[in-house]
Amino acid sequence: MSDHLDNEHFDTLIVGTGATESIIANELSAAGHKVLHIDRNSYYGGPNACFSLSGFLTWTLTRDFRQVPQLDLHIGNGLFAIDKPGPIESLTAQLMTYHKEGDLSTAQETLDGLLANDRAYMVEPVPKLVLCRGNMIDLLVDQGVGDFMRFRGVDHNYLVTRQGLERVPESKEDIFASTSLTLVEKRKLMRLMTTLGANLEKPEGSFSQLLAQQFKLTGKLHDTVLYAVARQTGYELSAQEGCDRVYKYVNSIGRYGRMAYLCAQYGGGSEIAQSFCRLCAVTGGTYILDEKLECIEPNEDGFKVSLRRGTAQVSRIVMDPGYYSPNSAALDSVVSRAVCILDNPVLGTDTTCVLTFLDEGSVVSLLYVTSATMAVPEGQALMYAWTEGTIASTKPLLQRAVGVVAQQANVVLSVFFEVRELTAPATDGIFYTSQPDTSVDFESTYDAAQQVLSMINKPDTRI
Amino acid sequence: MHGRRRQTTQEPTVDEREQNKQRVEKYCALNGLVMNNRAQKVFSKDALETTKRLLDLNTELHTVWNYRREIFTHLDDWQDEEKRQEMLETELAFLLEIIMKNIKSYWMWNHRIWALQSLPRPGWERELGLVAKLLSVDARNFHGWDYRRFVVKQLKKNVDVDGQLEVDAREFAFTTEQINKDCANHAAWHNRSKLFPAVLNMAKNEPERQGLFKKEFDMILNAIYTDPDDQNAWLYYDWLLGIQENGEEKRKLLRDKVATIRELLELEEDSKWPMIELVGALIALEQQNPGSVTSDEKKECLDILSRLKEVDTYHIGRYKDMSKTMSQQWGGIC
Repeated sequence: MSDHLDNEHFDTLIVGTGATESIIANELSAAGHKVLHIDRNSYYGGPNACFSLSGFLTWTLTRDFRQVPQLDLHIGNGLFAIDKPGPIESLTAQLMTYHKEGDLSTAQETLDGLLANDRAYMVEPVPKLVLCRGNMIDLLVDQGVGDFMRFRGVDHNYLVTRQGLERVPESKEDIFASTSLTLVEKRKLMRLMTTLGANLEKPEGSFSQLLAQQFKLTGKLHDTVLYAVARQTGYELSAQEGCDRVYKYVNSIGRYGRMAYLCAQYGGGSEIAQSFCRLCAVTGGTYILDEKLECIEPNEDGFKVSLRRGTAQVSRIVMDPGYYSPNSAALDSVVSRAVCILDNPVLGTDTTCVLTFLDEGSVVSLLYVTSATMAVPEGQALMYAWTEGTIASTKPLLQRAVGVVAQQANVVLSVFFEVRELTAPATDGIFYTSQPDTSVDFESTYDAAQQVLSMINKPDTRI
Repeated sequence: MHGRRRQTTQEPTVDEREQNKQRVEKYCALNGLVMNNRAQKVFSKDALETTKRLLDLNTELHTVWNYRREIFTHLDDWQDEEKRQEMLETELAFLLEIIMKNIKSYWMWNHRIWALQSLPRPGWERELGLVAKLLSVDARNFHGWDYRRFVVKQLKKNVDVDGQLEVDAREFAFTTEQINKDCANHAAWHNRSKLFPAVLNMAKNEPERQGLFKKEFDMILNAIYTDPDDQNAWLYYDWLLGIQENGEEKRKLLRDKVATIRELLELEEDSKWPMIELVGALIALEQQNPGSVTSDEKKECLDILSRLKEVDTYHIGRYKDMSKTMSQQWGGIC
């Protein structure tokens, strides 16, 4: 096999090996497309990738700076503002050059100490869970991807406020045994779970209104259902949307255990992406990593694409919008994220938790992972937090959220960064996917893939 | 097992039919051999072995279990204590294997009890552990619960009064655990009612007694509010009220019950159990202290009964009858 493309013909070129693109690649290849799948990185997964600690820190130096313009690295009390790309040799020394304030030598020591266990970390810039009953899990089972992946159940769901953490009851047993719910609240919650577990017919208005009026939920109970179960974040959920989400959540409980979500070991997004790429390759897909898309020329049969390793003639292109060059980063769609290493597994050593922090109208989603999912070495914990808005406006909020959960544990290393959504204009023959959103599970990834696939399969689409 | 669907069987294939035929023939031959041995009063080790093979195929042959016990007692080894211990321990292991095939077999449980009672040194603590495991597989199996009560009784025989109280307390905690896992576990509530009087007697003074009662009522309320349609908690509630000796206490508790149910009914308008229990509580109050129930409340009872006729049509006859009796007794409130 030559390592040079000589104007070879492919039905579809797929650019970017994120989870969405990989699902699409597998589906098209299985349907008979000759697929060429490329990625500019030397690893699979794109925005869903998973890294060792050094890999993650390398990513901070080599990331797409249009998409992630600002990134603050905190080690101890040292702050390092990584605001421009840098070479990746001598990683620690390189990171130190971004020093802005705080104790430099202690930070260097701490970092070296953490890196001694480098391979025991599996860090994802964009972590997500799998709902136990939903489209993504069905796809994984259906395609046999389940054979390649290992999961742990998400043990607890917490609602967090400045006053502290409260467990969200997830079953009749939880509700019965709860000491923080009043009797009346228990009744209301049970009624809600049984009613919405069976699906309401055409509810109207907003979900928040429905909870207040039909189920008479108030205060903390109302917030628990709205934010910790239906997971309303930025915009107000319609009653139908909220009911669908609660329905999915309630019906996920009990399928594989007492939890509603699964958390993959070794990074869910990365494992999903790699598994689907593997399947695509098995049915004939061609894979090239470290590949640059240099030029796209439309012609009567589709496009002539120039890559580093040669040219190819493709009938259509599926592309991660992050690859579209003259991209302008939309400022109205910004997500701020935090990744924090704790020196003490405060919520349990072998535990995985999903949390929601409510504070003065803001909602922060959090994940707490440990060695249970191979995310950190034993004795430590990893916390992810994210919310909508720029880092400038949300960093204190994210720090507060992590702080309330971490309690006595120290945050030895943390990274705060903002991700701007990149969009591309609609073009004939090029199908843009979308980038990972703020939802906590992969259902939206599945939906995004299906959206592109249905557009490709439309009868009037240019072949 | 509770809450699990039966598997529907499919028509057997020709091969399967042939296999089944051969199995049946083998079984009948073995059965014939064993019955023959029994008729001829053969009590040898070989005969014992044949009964084992037969019982392995079919655990429900109580005659064969009887015969097996007879053989055991006729063997020479039976007279020697150590050898008997060994034989019966092997027997218990054998029973453990086959009980998993059919947890609900009366004969196997009886045989196990016989073996334990014949053992020179029975291991009752070990039996307790075994039952706990069984109940974790099927929490409502009454064989399991009955056996547990039997084992507990045996355990208490070998200890002094303090030891007995300890056993009761431990069993009480076990029911708490089971109820926390599933508040609809009828068997656990029932066992709790058997143990609660003993636990009450352990209280050193009146406040402690009151405390124990309060905990029980809290647990019941939790169960009622979690699932008002499940009758377990309501039955236990009635039983708890029934064991009150002090009339004044009982009246207060009945009033508490009425208030609680009224609150619950605000959330659950047409739920059968709260409704009928409210009527029951008011009737009990009136019986205990004639005149303590107001005429408004009496009217409320009759209203509830007529709503119940629509909510629970299976028992419409009962509600009609109760309405008639109430109207007569309470005179002209309709």
